[in-house]
Amino acid sequence: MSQLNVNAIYDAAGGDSVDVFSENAAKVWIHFNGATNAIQGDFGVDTITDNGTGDYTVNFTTAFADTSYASFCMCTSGAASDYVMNQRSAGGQVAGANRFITFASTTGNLADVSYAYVACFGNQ
Amino acid sequence: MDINSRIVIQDDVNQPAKIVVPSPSAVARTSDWNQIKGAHQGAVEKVECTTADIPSDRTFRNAWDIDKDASDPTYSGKRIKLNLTKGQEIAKDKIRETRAPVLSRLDVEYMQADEAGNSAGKSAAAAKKQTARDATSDARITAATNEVELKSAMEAIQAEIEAL
Repeated sequence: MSQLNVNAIYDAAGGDSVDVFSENAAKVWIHFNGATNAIQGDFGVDTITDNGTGDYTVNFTTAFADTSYASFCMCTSGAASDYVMNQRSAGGQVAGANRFITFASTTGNLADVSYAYVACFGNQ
Repeated sequence: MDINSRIVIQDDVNQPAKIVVPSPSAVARTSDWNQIKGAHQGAVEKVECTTADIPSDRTFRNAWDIDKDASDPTYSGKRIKLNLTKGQEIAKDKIRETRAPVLSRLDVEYMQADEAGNSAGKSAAAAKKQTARDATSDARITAATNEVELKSAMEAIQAEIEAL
């Protein structure tokens, strides 16, 4: 396998540097439907686990080096009501997986959503 | 294993069955479940199946139990079955959700009748509130013997509450 060793990469016009490296690129991302469990697209994900209503675990293909990686999530129902997606507090983030919950913003009750998005950044 | 493959697992009877779903990138890499990371690894109670074995109606999702024993008289022929006791509690919770805004509205009706000195209006509002409070102990919930009956009973009660 060939290997490039460079200090910077510039765009085609020779202007701005392109600052996308392994340190700042998303190691994991996924877009899935919590109501059907269909996965629309992913990178670095092996499986999702449907733990129950509005409760999902994203299992990574490659575990992070530790639990200090950064996770971001958001969701929408595709309906009139608003929903929220959070990382689960108890046992949510471990090196090889992350568990999330989705719930209605008005009642706080766990609920399935049609569009759930997760991205994780960090060292693997 | 393909994109429609699933694994149902349940090692804790107090928790709902879990459904493991392979990602497109994992399926592109391997067709072997053993090469894929997820909650199925190490699970004792598990069964491989497909999306056809998973109910599409998730109304009582947290009452799903694994259904792997074909010799069990209650075997559904699929890989998920409803835990009726848990399902009845979910139905009651959903009725409570429906009831909350109705009770708020009836509180206003009662207060308005009180301010107007309308004793008949107060009695009517109080009776409706009592009907709403009694809804979670409706016999149709406990009489239901399967998911279809339970959902039908729950929706009928919710409609009655909303009509108060």
